Amino acid sequence: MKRIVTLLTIIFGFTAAFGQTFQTTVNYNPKREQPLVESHLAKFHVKGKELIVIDVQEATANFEGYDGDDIVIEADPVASKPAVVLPGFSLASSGLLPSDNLVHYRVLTNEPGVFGLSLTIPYTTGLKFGHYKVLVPKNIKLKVVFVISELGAKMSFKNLSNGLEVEGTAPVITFDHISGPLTLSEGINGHRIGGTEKIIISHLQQSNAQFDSLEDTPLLNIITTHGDVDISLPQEAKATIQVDAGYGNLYSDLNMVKQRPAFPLVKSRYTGNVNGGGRMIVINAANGNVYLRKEK
Amino acid sequence: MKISITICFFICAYSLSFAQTSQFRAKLNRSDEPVYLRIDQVSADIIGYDGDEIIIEAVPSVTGVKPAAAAGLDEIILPGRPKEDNIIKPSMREDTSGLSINIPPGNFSKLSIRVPKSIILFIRTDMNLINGKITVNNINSIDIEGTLASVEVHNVTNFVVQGGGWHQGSRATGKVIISDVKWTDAPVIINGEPHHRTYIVGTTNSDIELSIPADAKANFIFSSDYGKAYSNLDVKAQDVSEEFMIDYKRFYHRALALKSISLNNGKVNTIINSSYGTIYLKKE
Repeated sequence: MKRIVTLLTIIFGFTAAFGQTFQTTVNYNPKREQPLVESHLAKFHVKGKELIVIDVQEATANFEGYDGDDIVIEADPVASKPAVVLPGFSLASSGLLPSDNLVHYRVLTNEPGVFGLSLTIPYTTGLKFGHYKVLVPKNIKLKVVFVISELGAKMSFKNLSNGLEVEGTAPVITFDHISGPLTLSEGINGHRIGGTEKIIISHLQQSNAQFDSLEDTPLLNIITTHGDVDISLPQEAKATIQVDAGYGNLYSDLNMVKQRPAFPLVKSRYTGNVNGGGRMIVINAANGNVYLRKEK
Repeated sequence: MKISITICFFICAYSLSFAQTSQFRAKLNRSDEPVYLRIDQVSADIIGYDGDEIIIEAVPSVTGVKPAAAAGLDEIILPGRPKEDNIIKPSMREDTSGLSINIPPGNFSKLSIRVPKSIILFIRTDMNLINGKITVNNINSIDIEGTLASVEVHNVTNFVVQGGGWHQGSRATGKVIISDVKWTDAPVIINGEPHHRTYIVGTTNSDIELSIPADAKANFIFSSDYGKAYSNLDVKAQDVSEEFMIDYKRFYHRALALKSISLNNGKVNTIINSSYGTIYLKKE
């Protein structure tokens, strides 16, 4: 009996260890009492700061890395998705105000030194969806939290070459020219129930990744409840890919060599090496399909 | 050790109590006996017919059909993934409140459900599949609640369709389409008792298409945080009266940006909610 209990303890402990996801180390502790600022342009000097946390609620945003030292946020109302109006139909009623071209934000923390900046862009009741263009220094460590529920809305991340942690839900989430490590935890308030339909990762810049002390950190760690995951890998990429898909299917044109399953065995888990294996790419897509394809 | 063996025995016995079958049949005691059907993670086609039995069968998906995004890619079989089959493990309970049927998820992607046309059917579901869909055709009364993807309801006398909600997660898929409704304000009879009839359709994200005959006398009371309502009917904006507010608050606590429009000076009340979706009121 003691042996059984001991064995079960080891198995549960081992399993729980696999349930952990890569997390950044700085605490995100929003202070809601901070005043709401409305501005045509929000600009923050962030050189030397360790981590930037941005929380975007019910607005789409394009995050793009660049060579500067400032975070620059601009509103772009034109980019909001218009409603599809069927032929012969006219507007019967609407309670919405038109979108404006202001950035609505609260600075939650902006400490001197390395602690970092955290700010929130809250949703405004009755206001049409907004859209933001966010320029960030491309080598900064960035955490973005968001919820956007508008059908077809897209959050995008481009040209970022340091750790990126993304938590939230949006119908489409894209990553282009990022070097990882990337942790994407799709869902709301940690409940892991989100409305994401597609997660698309392309032009992965693996050769520029700064591994340093993050040897054990997966290059990509993707968790999604509903969404399809579509990853394009460069031809020369060396990766070990682990896919869990409870209800979805796995499709690929990569030359993957299937690996023997590791203990403990997990149902519907595939592990394969590309080009002899390398940094881990971990995908947990509970209900969506997973597409792994060669970069074109 | 004895305790462990006993627990294992009960777990095994409980599992076996869900009888496996390829077809489930149940007969109603009365035509107005409500049926509560629990189905999760599965699409379903529900259709009314002239018989007096509920008949449920699993339909395995057609194998070899790839999604468009998989063009040029090979399917890699995931270890331990069972092949689709048509085995269901239903359980049933009947008491004074009605007949409850539970179909747990299985190795199938769709259920085919035939029901008596006069049925009063309540469906509760958690549908996390992007392409999941529930269709209902040719029955008396349908009430669907849960996390939904797409829903189509046609040819019914009463409908309640409510999906999403923060506690269930914001969904961003699918569409709710409702047509060929027998618009009436007569009460719904359940277990011999008359119940207030209010047509309701509510979603978090999904667009809603509701078809209405041009000569129907109807009021539409709706709320939307971010959506808009469009129509090709001769509808008129009207004040949200106290009567509408009372009706609305029978079902919802929050009445943000409540609006009302009428068709042919109104009579039958319909409540529509979509926090993010667009609402279309279509001429039937």
